[in-house]
Amino acid sequence: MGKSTELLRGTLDLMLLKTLELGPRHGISVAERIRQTTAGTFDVSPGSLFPALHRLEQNGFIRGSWTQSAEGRRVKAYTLTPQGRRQLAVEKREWARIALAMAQVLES
Amino acid sequence: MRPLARLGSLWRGIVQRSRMDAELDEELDGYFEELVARKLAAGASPDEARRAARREMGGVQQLKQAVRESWLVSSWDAVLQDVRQAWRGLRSTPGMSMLAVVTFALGIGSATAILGVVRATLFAPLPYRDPSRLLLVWADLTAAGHPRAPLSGPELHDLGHRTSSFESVAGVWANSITLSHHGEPEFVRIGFVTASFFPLLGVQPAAGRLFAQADDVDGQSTSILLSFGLWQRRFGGDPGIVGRAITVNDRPTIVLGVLPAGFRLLLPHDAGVPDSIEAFQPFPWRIAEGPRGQRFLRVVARTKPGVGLVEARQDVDRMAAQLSREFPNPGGTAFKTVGLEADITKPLRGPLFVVTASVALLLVISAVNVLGVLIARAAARRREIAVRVALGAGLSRILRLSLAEGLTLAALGAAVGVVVARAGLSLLLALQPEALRRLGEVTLDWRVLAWTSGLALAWGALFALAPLREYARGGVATALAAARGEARRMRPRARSALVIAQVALTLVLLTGAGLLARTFARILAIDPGFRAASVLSFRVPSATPRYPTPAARDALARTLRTALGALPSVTSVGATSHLPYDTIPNWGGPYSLVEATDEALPSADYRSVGPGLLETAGVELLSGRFFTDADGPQAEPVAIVDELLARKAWPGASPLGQRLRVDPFSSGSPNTWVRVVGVVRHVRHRSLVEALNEQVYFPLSQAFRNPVAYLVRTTGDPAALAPAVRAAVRGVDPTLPIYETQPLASNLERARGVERFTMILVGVFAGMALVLAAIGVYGVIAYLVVERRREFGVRLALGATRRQIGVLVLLEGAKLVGIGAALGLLGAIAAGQLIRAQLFGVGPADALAYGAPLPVLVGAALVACLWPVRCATAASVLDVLRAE
Repeated sequence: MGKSTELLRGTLDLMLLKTLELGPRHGISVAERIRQTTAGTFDVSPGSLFPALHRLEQNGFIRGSWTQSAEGRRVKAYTLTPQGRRQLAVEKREWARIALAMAQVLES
Repeated sequence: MRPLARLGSLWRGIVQRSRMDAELDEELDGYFEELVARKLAAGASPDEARRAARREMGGVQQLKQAVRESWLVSSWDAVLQDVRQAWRGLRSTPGMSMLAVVTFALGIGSATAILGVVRATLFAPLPYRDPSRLLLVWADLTAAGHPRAPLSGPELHDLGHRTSSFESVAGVWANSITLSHHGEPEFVRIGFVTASFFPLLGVQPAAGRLFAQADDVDGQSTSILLSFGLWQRRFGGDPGIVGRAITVNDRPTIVLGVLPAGFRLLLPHDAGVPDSIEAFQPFPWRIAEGPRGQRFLRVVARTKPGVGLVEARQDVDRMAAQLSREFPNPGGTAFKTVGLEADITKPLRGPLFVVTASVALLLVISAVNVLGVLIARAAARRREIAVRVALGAGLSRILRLSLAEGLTLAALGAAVGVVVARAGLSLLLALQPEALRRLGEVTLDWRVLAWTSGLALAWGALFALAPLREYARGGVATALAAARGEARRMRPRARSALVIAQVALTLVLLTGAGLLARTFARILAIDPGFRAASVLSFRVPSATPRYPTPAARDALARTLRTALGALPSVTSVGATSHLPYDTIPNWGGPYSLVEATDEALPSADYRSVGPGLLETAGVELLSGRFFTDADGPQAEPVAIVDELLARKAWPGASPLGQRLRVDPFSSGSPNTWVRVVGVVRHVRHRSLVEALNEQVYFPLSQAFRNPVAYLVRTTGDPAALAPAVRAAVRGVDPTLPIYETQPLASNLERARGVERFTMILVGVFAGMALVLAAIGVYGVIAYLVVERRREFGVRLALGATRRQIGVLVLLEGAKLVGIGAALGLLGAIAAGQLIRAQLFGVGPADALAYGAPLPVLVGAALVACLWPVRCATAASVLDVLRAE
């Protein structure tokens, strides 16, 4: 992790849901995608990635299924469920509210 | 997430751990391999790549643990969330939900209490070692009217020596002793037992030792075993008592040991071995050498391992055939071998079946109320649900909600039900039916609670499914149409069917209760041949070392009678060997009119009674005379016989002055001639519902028995007489213990105990069912009225009278009750056949029992309709406008 920023649990969930919005991904590809899109600000370690993925799966927001990776490995890929899509919308709104509020606090 | 999937994930989270763990391993391994592959691609050496990847993965065990926690936590969270939502839903209609919970609690609580009783009385193993191997052996004297007679000493000996099926055999005979050690003399119920008795049952002493074979052969009762209760009560639990001498019947007797606290002697009721036995002694004579015809031993046997009842029975029958050849006697020798457990529970199975069946009906009726409430809620929420569906909730979401609600209701009901069951059980214990003597051991143990939980779960699932139909037909279009008030009126068809079922089942219960009440009334109306009211009974010893001779004993009896008769309000007094419905063994023997015969002799119940007894008991004299003080030890031996014996022995002739050969001293053969001086009406002293054996009464001073019971007839309350009676006896002899002082009527009540118990329980269940059914009717009719309020308004506007509207509503109620009652009548007829064995003097098609519940049911339904009718007739044109 080093230079990367510590994540709030809710924030990680939001990022994971958002990452899966465009299509199914398996563990390492989720982590890489987050690292890429945040230009390395968030480097999600397996230690936080997997508990979060499983928690989201238990809640029915994402669904894991075993498929072949591009390299031909058997991997567990996660897909956003309709419920997860709704959850993503809710959390996005929530985040926007918080971000706005934070900005107001910091600029005042 | 679908509710089933959610339950599934919970299931997996708990149970399918290993598979999930394996999958997690594979997932993490895959991650690791890909990490390595990426490092390699970036130009690292294989070693470096693996090291770097491992570093990046961090602590794998810790990681796995974190994931596992997420499995469990989120599943539980989900369940809790569902339950919370269900709870909110139920709270939104508090009245309805409370009603559902309370009615279900009544049903499942009653069922739990009865399950507890059934388990303790029918299914709990007897508290002895390996009880399934315990048998009872009875002498089969069916020809003489005793299909289950005791065995004689020699027969018990033969049973132990001439058979190969038994590990051990033992005999017991109930009696009583005077314990005059420390303080007041006290009469104590005692069991004479063979040394094999306690080892056979598997009883270990709490202190000291049990009887040994040597104590038996000794043939003298110089040792005693105390029950735990007697040890505590009389000796303050003194551990030093073992090995010390106490005074029994004025003789020093060594306390060998103390029986364990939980020991109870559970033999069938007709064995005449009461639970209340508080001490045990070896037989005071060598029983194996006694007369072969002197039968008094209740025999318990333990089969060898692997020997079944059938084998043991054949073995005993083989021995009986041998004995018949060796000791020819007119009736032959036959035995009945039965399993102890089955024999004890046999008389209870019928009544408990009836009670269990009624409580099952009650449970169904109560649960149907819950179903009705849930369906009504579903109907009321159809619009809300439709909107949810339209917003994408999916039927699965609704199923989940419904499941959570159903199970939550069932769980709440069951929780309250356990409280109901506890209260119910204490009420049951207050009824104290003698035959259900093991009721004291009833506890709601984990098995019973597991049953209750299972029942609640099953009903909960049904509760969850019930509203689905309502939801399913509430498509968006329908719901929106309903919202616009355009939909055709929806009849609560499902609820109506449920209420009809409730009414039908209630009628079945009411009819059953009616039949049992009629049975009980018939039993109450039976003339037992004696007048129990206003009579107090108590026991005293009639022979102690202070009264060694027959003359001294007679003098004591006379003094006691005079002292008791002198009490104010006492009108007559008498002494007897046996009370009606006594707990001491029955006493009987053969009788004959001729000197010798080859035929099997008939047998009669024997009773020894003092002067004044039959008068005090209110036994009717048909001819001749009662006993007087003149029938003393030196006078001519006389007897009074009952009408049955008179008719059998001297049909068409007067028995007065005739001679009868009997065996009042239990010698084994009838070798005493007595002259008949009187004939009395038959007394039902052992069974209320049938006339059993013929009866012979001897004067107490000619056929002495110890102890005796006194009957004192009073003009006042017999219970209030007890202190005066005690004082009077003490005035005659302060060392005489007096015990079992109680109104004679309580014996009669005990005899009716099981019928009373069954009737009260089924009656209570029927009453509860009636209330629940009325609630059900109310629910449906009230719902209909709300639905049709607009229509009623229109009708009123068009000129209908309020009366007509009221009749309309009542007709709806009448329809439900009518169909329900018709179905219920069919069910009641079937139920009447089923419980035929529990009925007495009432046909299973008793007109009153079938007719009476109908007006009760209709009345209850009418009351249930009152409020809805008021609401309906209060409808007005304004309602129409408001609805628009």
